[in-house]
Amino acid sequence: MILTKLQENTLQEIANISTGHAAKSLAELMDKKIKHNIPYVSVIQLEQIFDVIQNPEDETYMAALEITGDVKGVILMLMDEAGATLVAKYMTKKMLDEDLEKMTLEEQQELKFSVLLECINIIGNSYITTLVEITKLKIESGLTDMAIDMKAAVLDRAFLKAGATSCSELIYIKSELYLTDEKYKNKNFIGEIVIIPNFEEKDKIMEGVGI
Amino acid sequence: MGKYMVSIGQIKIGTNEDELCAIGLGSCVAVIIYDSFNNIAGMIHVLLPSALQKEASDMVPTRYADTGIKILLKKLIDKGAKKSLLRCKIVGGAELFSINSKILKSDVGKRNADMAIKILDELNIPLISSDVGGNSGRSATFYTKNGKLKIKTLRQGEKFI
Repeated sequence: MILTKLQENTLQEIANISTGHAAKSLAELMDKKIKHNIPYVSVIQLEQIFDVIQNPEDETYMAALEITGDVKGVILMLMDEAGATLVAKYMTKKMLDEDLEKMTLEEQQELKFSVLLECINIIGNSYITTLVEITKLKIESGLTDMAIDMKAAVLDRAFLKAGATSCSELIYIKSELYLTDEKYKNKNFIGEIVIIPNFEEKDKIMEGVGI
Repeated sequence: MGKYMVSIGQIKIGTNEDELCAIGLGSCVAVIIYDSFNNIAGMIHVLLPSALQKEASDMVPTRYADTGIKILLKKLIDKGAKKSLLRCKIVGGAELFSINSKILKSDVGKRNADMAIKILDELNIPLISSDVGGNSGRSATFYTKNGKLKIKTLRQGEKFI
């Protein structure tokens, strides 16, 4: 089963608006400008995940927020080392490169994890709020989870959380976030937001928006 | 010579110079069964130990250790491997580091590995070597021509088993 063009566009637009809100909240907290690209929507089978994941062996920080209620699934924030360092630096504001260098690897990782936890709470909840506003469905945030490992390995874990085993297909929505300066000259990739709603519940989202 | 990627729930069979790869194994387990005499090997990448609780209608048998390994064995025999010459290696089944690991204790990695070992034992296929458990993701490449398994672990480098 695949999505119709209308369904795909609808999901893309919902993701676009939600990512915009999420990026805005994150930007306020970091006091920086954040841009995002137009979300990419696809329906995949677990067997094809390598078609959509780039660099599956790269070390990746993952923070996940479960979605419960009428629509189930997970919202993920994925960052590489450089992205996590950038966000940690700007979110803690006073943190300088020298300060980071003074910390042990464990301390740095702990800092990044707590920053990421903050990120996923802000991004995830701003996503859910937008989803609720658009679809009028009852959607709530659930447990958070975090892991650091190879990208494919942390995604396995997320797919399990999203209930990948109970349905044969998954909707994979991905938006990339970039940190930009005042004049938009520099663009630094900080991470990507991935949403995996349970495929069987896509009709509820469509009904919610009146399609 | 071919290099085959084995994604979750897939089975790939290689012969002669072929390489079989499973990238980013977290709690998943890759099982390799091979016949070195006839140069045939097969790899399966399983997600969960057992499919017992799932409904039969939407079940993909190759995602589960208990059903998938038997399918892998059948495919190898169909390709010309001799049952008595088969050997196996397994890799994966880690518990990834997580902040919630103390609260939400998940042992799916261990259960995957235990189930795979149990099924292989039931099928009478000798387990030559394994690299399971731990807290880091792994990538595995199996060389059909010499039966060696290369394992790359995050922050720990590469080794052969």
